[in-house]
Amino acid sequence: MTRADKKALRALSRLANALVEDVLATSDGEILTEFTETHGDPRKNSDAMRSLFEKSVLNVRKARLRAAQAGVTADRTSATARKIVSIEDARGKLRRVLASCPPHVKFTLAARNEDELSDADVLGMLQDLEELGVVPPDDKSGGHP
Amino acid sequence: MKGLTPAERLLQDLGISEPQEIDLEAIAFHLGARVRFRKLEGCEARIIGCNDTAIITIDHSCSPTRKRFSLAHEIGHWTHHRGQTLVCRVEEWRPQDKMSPERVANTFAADLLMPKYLFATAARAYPKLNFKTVAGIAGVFRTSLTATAIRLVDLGHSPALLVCHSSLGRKWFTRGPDVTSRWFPRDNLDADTFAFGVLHGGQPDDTMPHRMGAEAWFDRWEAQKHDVYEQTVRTGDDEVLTLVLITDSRMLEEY
Repeated sequence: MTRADKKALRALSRLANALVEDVLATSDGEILTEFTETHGDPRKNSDAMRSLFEKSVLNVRKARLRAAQAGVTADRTSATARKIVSIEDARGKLRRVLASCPPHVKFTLAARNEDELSDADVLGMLQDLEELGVVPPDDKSGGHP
Repeated sequence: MKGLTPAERLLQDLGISEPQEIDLEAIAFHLGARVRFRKLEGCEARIIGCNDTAIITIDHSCSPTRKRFSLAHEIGHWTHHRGQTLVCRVEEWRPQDKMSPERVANTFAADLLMPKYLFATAARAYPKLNFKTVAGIAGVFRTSLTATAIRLVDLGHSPALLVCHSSLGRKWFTRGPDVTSRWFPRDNLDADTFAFGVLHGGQPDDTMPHRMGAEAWFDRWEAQKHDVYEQTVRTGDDEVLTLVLITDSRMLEEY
């Protein structure tokens, strides 16, 4: 930075300070009068600005919803069908997976109106666990996560 | 976002400003949970989660309103009980323990499906509380008649009680915030009530509320001095739901 640049910067800083002091020294009433003369009703203006901010915030939030909806559509097309496996093997595998979940894995399980698991439920749970990466899809090792 | 429940905050976080925008699959996805509709035999819905991702499975044979409730309920578990293993049994609408995981998930589901900030506006369009109003609002929010009626009564649309009976007696009831606790519904349906005719006499659903002596509904000496309005609809083979409307302002006075 040259000496001339530094001088200009100092001048600019002095001007900014003077402007700030000028604003701080002005009363609220004077500011409102000045605003009204230049831009019209301050309340109307503040309402319009607030509404603009709210609309922007809402748009950003709705964009999150649209992104999630797009994710759901993509997920639907990528869902895979289950392969046929022996139900005894599947039950054993599920039992082992549930019993041997390591402590560092935060495992969540809740089922409404839970009764004894049917064959379809066992296969469905294994499919879910495969999708979640807890069990490798072609696991031959017995399903240790 | 002050005064909002966790479910309502979630909805506002996604910019949901109309009941039609309550897209539960998208909400689940936003939280890291994918939804599958498959045949389930041992339960109506379940969630399996690993760290911050989960799969919610809903029984595809349930009714659309039931599926929505189950999905909202599982999103409630995912929000409040992450990292826990829960086994949920068949329970009545309102489990006794306020902090029970099922009650927490049910409350979350009600808030997610019928958030107060949207529900109150929709309810204001209906000045009278009756089952026509309930059905109209249930259609907007895609919720069951029972869940919607509970919400309307609990939020104090009009001073009322909602009572559910089977042939074995009263199953549960809820009381609006304006109705004092001294009005406690009888255990069994009085034979004079219209509800009795619907449950036991094969009568059709009431199309509008009927005037009835309050003593038919409440076992209190002072009930003889008042009338209430009742309307009953059948909600199951052996289940009826009755709105008991309190229109006499003296019944609302505190002692």
